[in-house]
Amino acid sequence: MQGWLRMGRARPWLALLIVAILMCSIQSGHAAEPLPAPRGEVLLTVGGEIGRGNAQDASGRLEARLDRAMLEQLGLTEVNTATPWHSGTMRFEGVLLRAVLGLVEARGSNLLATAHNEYSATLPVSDAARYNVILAMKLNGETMTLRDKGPLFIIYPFDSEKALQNDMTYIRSVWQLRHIDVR
Amino acid sequence: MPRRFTPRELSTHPEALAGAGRRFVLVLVGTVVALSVVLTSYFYIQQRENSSFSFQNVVWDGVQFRNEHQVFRVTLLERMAEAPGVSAQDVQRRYDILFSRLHLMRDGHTAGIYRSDSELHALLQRIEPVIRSWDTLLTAYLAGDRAAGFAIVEQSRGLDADFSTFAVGVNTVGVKRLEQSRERLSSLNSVLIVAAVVTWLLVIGFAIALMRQLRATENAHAEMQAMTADLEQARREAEAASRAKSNFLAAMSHELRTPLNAVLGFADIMRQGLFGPVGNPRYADYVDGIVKSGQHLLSLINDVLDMSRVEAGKLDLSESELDLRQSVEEAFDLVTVTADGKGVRLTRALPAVLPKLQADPRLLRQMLLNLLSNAIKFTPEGGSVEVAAAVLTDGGLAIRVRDSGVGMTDHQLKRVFEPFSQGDSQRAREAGGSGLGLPITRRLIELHDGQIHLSSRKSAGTTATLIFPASRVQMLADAT
Repeated sequence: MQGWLRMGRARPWLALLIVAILMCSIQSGHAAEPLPAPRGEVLLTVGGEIGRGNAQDASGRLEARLDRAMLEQLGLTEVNTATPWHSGTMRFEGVLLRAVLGLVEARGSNLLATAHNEYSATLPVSDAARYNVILAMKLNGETMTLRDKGPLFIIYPFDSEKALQNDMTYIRSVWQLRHIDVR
Repeated sequence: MPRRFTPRELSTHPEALAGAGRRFVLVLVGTVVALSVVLTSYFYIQQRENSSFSFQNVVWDGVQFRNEHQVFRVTLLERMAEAPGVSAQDVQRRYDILFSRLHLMRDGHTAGIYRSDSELHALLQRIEPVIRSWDTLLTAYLAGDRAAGFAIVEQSRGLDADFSTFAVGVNTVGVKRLEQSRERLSSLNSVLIVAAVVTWLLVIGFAIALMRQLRATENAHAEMQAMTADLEQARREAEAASRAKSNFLAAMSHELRTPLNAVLGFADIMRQGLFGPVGNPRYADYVDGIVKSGQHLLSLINDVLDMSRVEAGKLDLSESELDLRQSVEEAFDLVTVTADGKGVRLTRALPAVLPKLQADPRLLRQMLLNLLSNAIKFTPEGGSVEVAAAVLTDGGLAIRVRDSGVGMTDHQLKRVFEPFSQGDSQRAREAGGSGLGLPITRRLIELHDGQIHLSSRKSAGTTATLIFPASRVQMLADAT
């Protein structure tokens, strides 16, 4: 009877240990598999607190360089919304931000998004989880170039929620996006 | 000494009180509704203002536009100066970024704001075609035409003044809009303050009105209670006074009878000449007068005594099962002399089978006597008085006394049950009597739970009907 009780007390510790070991093995298993190298022009680089990449930045840290094909592989999501920078409702197509973050195994809580014109804004990672924030690549079916704020444009589904229609969200909607630093 | 009762005046009429309350509540509800409508619409408008694109972004965009123009030129010059690390691609990218600003001047919120200012609009009209024209020049330069690069730099320098004016203009527009929204905010604040003050006033007004109404209600309640107490007191006093009057009359009537009996007794002795004849025949007449007057007075006193007994509630029924035929007989015995003396014929029409009646025999006799003596009194010589009885369909018993006398008009008929009144006062004076006969009879039949009906026509006689309820009538199948 007493021995059984002692066993019962030991059991949760044992279980926790097993789970911890399992989680470590999963983490290390993924980290061991790097992203393939980009074949085309790099549209986006993701650096900072990431677990998966395919290159190193100037200071030798892991970096993920993504070309159009790699992004499109994540699947395109459509967001129909009006924005303060366009007249009327627009049809945007792009990859979900949370899919990109998943791909590079981002671990931070904030994202510093930087554009080609050196404009930058900080986004909380929770935004990507809560809303279908996309990195838009197409506008009304047409691939966006630098001249029309491409190649990547952070688009929130503004029309889906009143709370998104404010300046804080607008300044996070970085266009001509080129780099994301996970912090 | 009974207190004189004066009805109180209520200081506030209850209905006026309720009306004032209703009006107040209506005004209150109306004000609250109006207030909330005003506030809600104000907040709604404010909310819409807030949700729209901020003007700070417009200013930022204007400054960025100018910036990117500068950066492009610097990159181009760097490229032309063959600075290390500046590629043809960099120049092209800088141009594309500058180019991407152009559509902001046509689409979206910013474009609307630029268009709303004629000076900004004019500047853009000048700037935009120049920048667009650089597309081909840049392509030429990147293909090796240095002159095209110089042309772009030259034109770009020419745009500097316009860009400066544009940036300042955009800033001015932004500041103006900001000022407007600040004014709107301050006006909203004043509305809020006014609303708060109005709300406070309403609350205070409501509290005051509530207190006043409460006090008024309390007052009204107290007044009502006092009035009720007064009324109760007055009722007790009135009842006591009425009882005192009846007691007084009963006592006095009794006291009056004692000396009157002495007067009547002595007068009777004198009339009969028990101790020798009365000397002068005139005196004999006077003695007769004394006896008659005395007897009349005695009957009056008896009536008053009965009436006051009934009024004082001192008359109790001593009921027994009695034979109606016998009661009628006894009553006839008492009035036959009077009727014969007057030459009035008395008849009765009683059915062969009569039910037993549950009643007070003395009071029944008195009722019959009252009706009979009235009938005889008001029937001239040669007339007739008839007593009849019948069982009614509902089981009650009706006793009818009909005369062929002078009768009464409708007007007289109405007043005949009032004490001390007689149908025809002229005739009544001739006939004598107290005028209490019918009122007493009515009280007595009512004591038996019955009714009396009187019908009459002038010069066509009068019919009085006593009705006993079915509960007092006992049908006997074998009665003879």
